[in-house]
Amino acid sequence: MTSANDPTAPAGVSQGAFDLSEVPVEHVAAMAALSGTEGSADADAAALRGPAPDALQAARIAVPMRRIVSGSYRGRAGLWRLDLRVDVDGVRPLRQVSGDFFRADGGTVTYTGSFAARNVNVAVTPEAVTITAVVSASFPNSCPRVRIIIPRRTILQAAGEADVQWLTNGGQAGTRYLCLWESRYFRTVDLEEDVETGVTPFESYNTGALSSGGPARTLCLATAFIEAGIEMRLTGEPGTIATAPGGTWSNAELHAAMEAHFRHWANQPQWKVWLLHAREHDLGSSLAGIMFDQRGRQRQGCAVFYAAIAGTGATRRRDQLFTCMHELGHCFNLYHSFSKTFTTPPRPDRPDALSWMNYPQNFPGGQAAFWSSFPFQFDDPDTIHLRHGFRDNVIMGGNPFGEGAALEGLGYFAEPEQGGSRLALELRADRSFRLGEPVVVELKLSTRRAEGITVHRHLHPADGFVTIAIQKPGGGTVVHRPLIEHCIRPETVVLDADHPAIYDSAYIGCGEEGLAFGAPGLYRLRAVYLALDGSRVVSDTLELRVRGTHHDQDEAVADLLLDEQVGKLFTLLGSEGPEMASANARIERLVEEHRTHPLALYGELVQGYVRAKPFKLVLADEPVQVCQARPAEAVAMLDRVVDASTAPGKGLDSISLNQIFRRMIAALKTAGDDKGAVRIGKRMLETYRKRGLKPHVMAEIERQRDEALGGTGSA
Amino acid sequence: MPAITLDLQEGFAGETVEVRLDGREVWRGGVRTDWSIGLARRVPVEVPAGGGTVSVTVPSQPASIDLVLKPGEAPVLGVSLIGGGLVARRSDEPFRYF
Repeated sequence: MTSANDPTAPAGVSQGAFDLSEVPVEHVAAMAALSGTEGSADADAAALRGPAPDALQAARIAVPMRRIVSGSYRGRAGLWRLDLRVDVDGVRPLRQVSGDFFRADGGTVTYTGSFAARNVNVAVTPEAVTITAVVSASFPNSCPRVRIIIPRRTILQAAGEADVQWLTNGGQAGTRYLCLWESRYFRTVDLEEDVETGVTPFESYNTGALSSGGPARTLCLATAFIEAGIEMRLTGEPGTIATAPGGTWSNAELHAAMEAHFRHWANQPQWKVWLLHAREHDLGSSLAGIMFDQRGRQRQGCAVFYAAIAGTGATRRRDQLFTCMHELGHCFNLYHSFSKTFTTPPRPDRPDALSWMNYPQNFPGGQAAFWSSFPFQFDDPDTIHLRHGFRDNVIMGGNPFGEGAALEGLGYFAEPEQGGSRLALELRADRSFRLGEPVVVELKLSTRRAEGITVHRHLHPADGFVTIAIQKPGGGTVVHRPLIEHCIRPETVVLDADHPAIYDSAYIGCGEEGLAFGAPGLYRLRAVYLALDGSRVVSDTLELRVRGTHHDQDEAVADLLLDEQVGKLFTLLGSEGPEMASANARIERLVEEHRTHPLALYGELVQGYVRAKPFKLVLADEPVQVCQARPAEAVAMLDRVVDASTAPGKGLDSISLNQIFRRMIAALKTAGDDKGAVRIGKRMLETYRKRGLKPHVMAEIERQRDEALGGTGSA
Repeated sequence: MPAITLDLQEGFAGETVEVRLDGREVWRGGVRTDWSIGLARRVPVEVPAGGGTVSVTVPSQPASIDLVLKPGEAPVLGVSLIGGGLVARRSDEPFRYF
């Protein structure tokens, strides 16, 4: 019988030689050289299976008692922190290096990206181990080559530092990190367990009790994960969850139980996981376990059901161990061995994998064949993922289940590892948007503390101190780059108990990146504010929905608005420039042909706004032309925009509406209609008083109204 | 009539699936595989003692498969949508999912 995937290999062959002894780095380097795959891309099958036994014997070198160099290291260079993982010796060395980068800005530490390299070159001398590789990374990097030098130490000495030098393709030196040894493990996870009343949870199993494919040893969950290079720390004794006798669990109930009982549950990625030992799922006793956490921040919890696997006999203990490891493997974002083609990106299926992630009944030859060969481990590709997968593809609460691809701009959606800032940034949109509707978000910067803090007041992305990242429904991420940037001297303001927040709104529908919201679906947005002390204040993720079209008129209006020139017109809030002629024609059609459509107000907005003031046309080789203001027209149009925005959640957001009121006041003052200007000012205050705003916000609006009425007329 | 269990297993991403017994529709619905267990939906089908043909169809692919049950047979059936086609599995015992 042959392997289902490899016509040259027999069925059931282990993807890697099973060996729990520590492999010296000299051995790994020699094996790589003998197999002829050193530095090649085709090394997995050959190098990990190793050369013929007699060649292997010839390569054995008498090695003094030296420390292994594999494990985790950590170093810093400037604002950056590197968490490095070296995997070239020790138990099941995989000849890989990987790492995660974090950026420290003030009190905030944020994950920014990961890298990994396979089949690394290893050169060994009595003094040092030198590892060289070309990495793949989840972020754009100008130095894709890395050289890592780790001094050899005996087991009686402290571990040596890893000297990490990044290099360009041409060999020029990039950043250098000196990384201190942290742990022999590649990752560390805290495991919290709870037990349903009446269930006796799994503790340990001796793998030699029944026929198996590896050496006999007693495994508990912690030791089974240690064999994969993962430290699983138990966070105390399991708690008990009291339930009614005979009840079963739905996925929703499991999720609720997790949020209630998992002491470390949080809405952010973290190396923490919850395992519930329960009696039975709604689906019945055929379901032995499930990773139920597939909403929000996923993969933080799983459950094992003992209805069909309870007991202390060897078979039952084996089933319990297998199910626990299998479900926890899902929490690390591992799919079934036979379903890898359904991950993102897809991987080859491995139906003959001897791994915790297979189904014994799906193995070629059935359960008996599986158990007689299974060495109670993850197979090598699964182990590589656990040890070296890009952080967000592995960490609980990271990428959704099954999604393993790195996203462009990944760092923007990373949770700060440490939130030390005294400021909080909120990104808001109080409703969903129609397709084609200009997407405007509100930003609020506030202080968490009563004592004053000086901040700059520039929340609009065009001022250069705030960045907004947009993750589209398909998963790609873009960073909003405003079409116009303001070069400003920062103005500061003190936020304190009396004046705790500042606000602004920003149209982000069109930027240098083009139209960002051109398709229906769920978008995720995040903003970053660069504070005066250099810290980065990161908002929570805003989920924003763009609704699809349901009527022909919706489609026609969306067709008119989804145009980059129209996007520019919205950015400018109108223009009489000849280069905007096509966009203005579209707006004209929107207003004339779709006057009653809810989105027509945006047409009146840009037309009314630009007509409120004179517009200077500066054309090459011609005298400056001035398009006279048309204040009556402008006010009539903007009045209709205000009418459409009076009810909360309709029309313009509050901050943009404020701008429109002040524009109307300015237009009327320019036209000499002071009474009209006062009337609009009164309407402005009445509109906002009905919204129940906080006193300091209302005070600021009154000040803005007064300034508009008594100022130069600019708004 | 004995009821057999038809497990719609892997590869379903919201498609409408039709289940017929001897040509008569007995179930229809949109199904999506829960990849943590490899099961989308469990559909009970009552089969006459004289046997019958259970047909599973995914009109949008299109894909279809017929599963003939002999008199007295009551296996557990598993059907997956793989590569645009339907693949079936039979078992005398319930499929176990993890």
